[in-house]
Amino acid sequence: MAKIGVVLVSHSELIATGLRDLVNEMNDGSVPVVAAGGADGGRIGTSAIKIQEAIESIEDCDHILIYADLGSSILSAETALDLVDEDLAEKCTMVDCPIVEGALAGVIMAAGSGDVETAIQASEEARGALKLQ
Amino acid sequence: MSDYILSKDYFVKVIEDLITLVDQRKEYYTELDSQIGDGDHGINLEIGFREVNKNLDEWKKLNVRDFYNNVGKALLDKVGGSSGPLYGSFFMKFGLPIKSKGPDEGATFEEFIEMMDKGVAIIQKRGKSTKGEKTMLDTFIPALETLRSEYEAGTPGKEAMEKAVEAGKEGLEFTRNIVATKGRAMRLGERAIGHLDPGAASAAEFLEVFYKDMP
Repeated sequence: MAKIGVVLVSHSELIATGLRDLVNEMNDGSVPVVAAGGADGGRIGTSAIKIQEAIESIEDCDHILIYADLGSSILSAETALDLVDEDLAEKCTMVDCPIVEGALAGVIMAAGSGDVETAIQASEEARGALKLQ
Repeated sequence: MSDYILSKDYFVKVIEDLITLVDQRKEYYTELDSQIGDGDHGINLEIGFREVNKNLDEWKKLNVRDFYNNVGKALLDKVGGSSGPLYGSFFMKFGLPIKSKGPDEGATFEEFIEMMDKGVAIIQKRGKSTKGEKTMLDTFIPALETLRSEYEAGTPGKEAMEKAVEAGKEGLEFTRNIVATKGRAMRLGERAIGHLDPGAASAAEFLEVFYKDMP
């Protein structure tokens, strides 16, 4: 099984840490999940440096999935990928999905299967998930 | 005109003057942003440049490349909104084409044009954007094109930069007449017409600092 790690990027530090706690409820501990939310000083916003440090903190993973919420979180995450070593950047994938449902599905599948493609696919399927039927 | 040299002091003064500019103009940038965005452009830039100001005395000892790398990283870390990764990446790349290594060395005007080119290119890449989308690129791209074409046609450096600033301001005015296809303002559709883009506005004033500080 490949070791898969997850970085959660949100404009809100509380959303990122809250989502980390939520997905860890479904995590057997095999998937390290790191929150990289908010701008400096707890302001709403994102920091490429904070995201860079989050990625580097789990650099021993074979694959790192990055989930971001909106707008500048994507810009900052892409900037962070330029800041880390090339070898590490190659292990990272930005997953295009709703952050809560997508990260939850991704962590469950990453922990269960250890297969990064399966985890990405599960996250992407969350794009069209209907909740009220 | 290849003997037109921009000194280390020039490159430091530009950053000092940008700190002052952002402090003076933050309310204006924020006012523009509150019309079509989330109203934080001025305050975000101010927080970023305040961090730069805090470290300036230390960073001044570095060569131009490392000096601008630190300026860019501070903006990446502290700004918070989209202008953080955009301006942050601009300044980080800006120093790269400089060939001199010493802490007191500046750049030739040819190098300066390459520095602007690298900076604008990373904004295009990062934003996956070009001119005509109501962004800072509506200022930067025409300014860069004019800078290069004027200089290649033999216009002296400072005069070429003056023309580049004028082209940037025309680009800024153009953002008033178009809808946004990037950034939060795209959700406004036609309602964005009649408003200047805040990023294009700050970019035009930043370029003016680069011009005015030239010897």
